[in-house]
Amino acid sequence: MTGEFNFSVAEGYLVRNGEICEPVRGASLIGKGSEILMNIDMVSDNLAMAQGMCGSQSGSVPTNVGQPLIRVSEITVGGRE
Amino acid sequence: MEYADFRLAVEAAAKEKGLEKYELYYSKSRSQSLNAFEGQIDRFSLSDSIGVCFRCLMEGKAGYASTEKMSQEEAVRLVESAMESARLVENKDPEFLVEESCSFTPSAFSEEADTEREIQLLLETEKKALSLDPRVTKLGSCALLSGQEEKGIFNSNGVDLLDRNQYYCRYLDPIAEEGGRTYNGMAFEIAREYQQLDTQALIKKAVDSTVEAIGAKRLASGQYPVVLDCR
Repeated sequence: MTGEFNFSVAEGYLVRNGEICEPVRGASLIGKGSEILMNIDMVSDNLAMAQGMCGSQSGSVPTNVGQPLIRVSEITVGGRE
Repeated sequence: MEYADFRLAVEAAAKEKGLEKYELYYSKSRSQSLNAFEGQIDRFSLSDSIGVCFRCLMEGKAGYASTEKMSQEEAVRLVESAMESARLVENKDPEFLVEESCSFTPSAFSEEADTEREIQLLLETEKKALSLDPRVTKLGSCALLSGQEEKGIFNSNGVDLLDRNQYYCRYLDPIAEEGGRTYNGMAFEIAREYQQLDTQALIKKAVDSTVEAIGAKRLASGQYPVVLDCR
């Protein structure tokens, strides 16, 4: 368990001057969870939680997850060369 | 035989055999999966499972037995098998039952599963999703999963707990085409009650997430400030 991640972005947009602009495709977010947590520099007041189920072959359990909108000062974004 | 009656039968069998320390764990579940494609249900699966596990303590040793059939005869066999198991076990680890008496019985399921109703809902979902935006040409998935689960544990010290869960999960994966490219989006919803499912909201979310990606550009690799939204 290193905490490292490499997620592909399902839905993403460029933000300019506080405005959501054109969509981006084929991007991925690369980093380490513990470092990302330390690099959060803005947190919104729109905390939202949602219920779901987390399961495997052995069965499923109810889960409750959520977050407010957050800004991370710097993440490695993989895209085109 | 239902669980409540089976439990009484197990209690009677244990008393008959002179067994004083025991517990019964019970699990029953039903899950259904539907997928719609081009106006038809192209995948359907239904799974029912039930299981009971009995554990007894005899001279500090635990014996176990289980069954997937609940009947008067099986209740007796379950108790006898567990007692036999306890006599044969060589493990000397300390075994115990929860001592504190507690009891909880949740309310019954609000409704019975209705497969026909769910099929109609899913076909209607697919039809509406395909009619919302002409750029959405098909759905990669249009699925509805539903299930009910009941679990119970009972022991000779007065523990008597029952838990019931019910869920619906609907998933949409629209595919849009424009300028020779295809774009994928998705949305899902999870609900405890059938009445909580919101077709219009789900379709809008799924289709919006798809068509909003039209015209998306690739980004140059690098370090960026990133906003993570909880939508």
